[in-house]
Amino acid sequence: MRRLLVGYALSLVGGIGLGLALARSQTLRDSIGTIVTGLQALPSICWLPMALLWFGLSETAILFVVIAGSLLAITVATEAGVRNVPPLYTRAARTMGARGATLYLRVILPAALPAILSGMRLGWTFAWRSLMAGELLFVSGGLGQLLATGRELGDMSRVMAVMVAIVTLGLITEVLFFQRVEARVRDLWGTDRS
Amino acid sequence: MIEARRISKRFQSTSRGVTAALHEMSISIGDGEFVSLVGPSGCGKTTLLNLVAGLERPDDGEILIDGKRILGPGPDRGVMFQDPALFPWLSVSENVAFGMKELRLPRALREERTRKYLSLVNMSGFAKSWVHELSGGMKQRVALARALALEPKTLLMDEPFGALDPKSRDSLQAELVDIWQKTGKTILFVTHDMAEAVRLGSRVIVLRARPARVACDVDVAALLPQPRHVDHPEVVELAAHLKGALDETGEREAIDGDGDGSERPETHLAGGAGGRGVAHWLGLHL
Repeated sequence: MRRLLVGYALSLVGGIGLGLALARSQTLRDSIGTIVTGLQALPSICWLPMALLWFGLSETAILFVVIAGSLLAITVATEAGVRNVPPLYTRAARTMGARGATLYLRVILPAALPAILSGMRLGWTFAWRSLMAGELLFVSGGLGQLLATGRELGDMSRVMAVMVAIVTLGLITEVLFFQRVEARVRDLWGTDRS
Repeated sequence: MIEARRISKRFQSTSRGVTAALHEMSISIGDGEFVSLVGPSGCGKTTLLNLVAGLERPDDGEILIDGKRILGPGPDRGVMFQDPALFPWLSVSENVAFGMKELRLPRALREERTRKYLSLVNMSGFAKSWVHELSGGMKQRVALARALALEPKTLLMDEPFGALDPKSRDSLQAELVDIWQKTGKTILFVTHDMAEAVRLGSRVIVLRARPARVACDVDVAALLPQPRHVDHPEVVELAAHLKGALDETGEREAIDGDGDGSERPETHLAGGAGGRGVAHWLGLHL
């Protein structure tokens, strides 16, 4: 769980940062835009061999896989969200003296929030899946390893129990966090009406 | 004092190549004037407003405010658009306070001004509401309060009432004139509705399209005292005459083939051949 949270937090910071940078700079889009899109097609577990070579059988390797799984989903959503911010918001904010960093913090990021949120949701799912896949493939403790142990021992009840645990955890974050936040955002933006 | 000196602005479009939105236009607006800028679509009125707002730069020429060249948007000019452009993630009062926060005004002052301007536009009861809870007319009221909250010397308004129902539009027009008389701000009001232009402005500048230039420039305040109303016969009649003058100059232009694109207004109040409509009308009513 700690791996998941740390990896996800790093993905959020990196993904939103990279998304903003991509939305802002045409040069950056031209140079690494295709790579970002291409890497998105790569299932995150494919990073595992590379991570193992780089970091060894360590915590860092599994963290790397989690980040590789979720960062780009957040990046792509942020970039799209920022580029779809109605130009009128920016214009109105500029006439009121907003510039540079405050323009981004107070107008562009909040305006792009609905899109960023769906990216966050997707990123969370990807991070979770990457973690499970990673843990299944090499011994490191955690739910994934518990699942792998169950398979080796032919212990069906253990396998089922772990699966139920995974589903429950997913449901809890979904219902307690994402659905609430999204409902609130939809409510404020008025997208539920008309 | 706003002075536009021989400003030109061109736009590049993929379908039609380069279009001149403004060509060497000069206009000067005195302090405390309420200028209605009216004309057909494509006459560059919105472009002119954006240039004064500092949201765009002219390709040639310059615009001065009190002798200083406009380099970008500034808190001395409040802007209102056809769309209220309120921020949905902020409450009504946070929207009004947005610019003041950006200017880092002290909290007490921000709160005081938010209250003051919300009450000026009759929206005091909605300070804590969210934007999506308001009707179109209410949103424009909040947008007006937001523009006023920075206490700009000049208000720039780009068809702010264009999308409203007649009733809201009517009451907002009356309130705007009221606010103008109370505060003495300079207002540049862009509209395509001639009756609205005449009803609001102390001065009406009629623009003609392609190339954009001043077709007539009428000192309405000298002719019709406020309060006026869009239904008043004098307002209707003057609007009709201005429309006529616009068509007339347009036709004359087409026949003469006079395409030199100078900024010379073709019709001054009661002067110039193209102003016959207005001159005639003045003769009847003065």
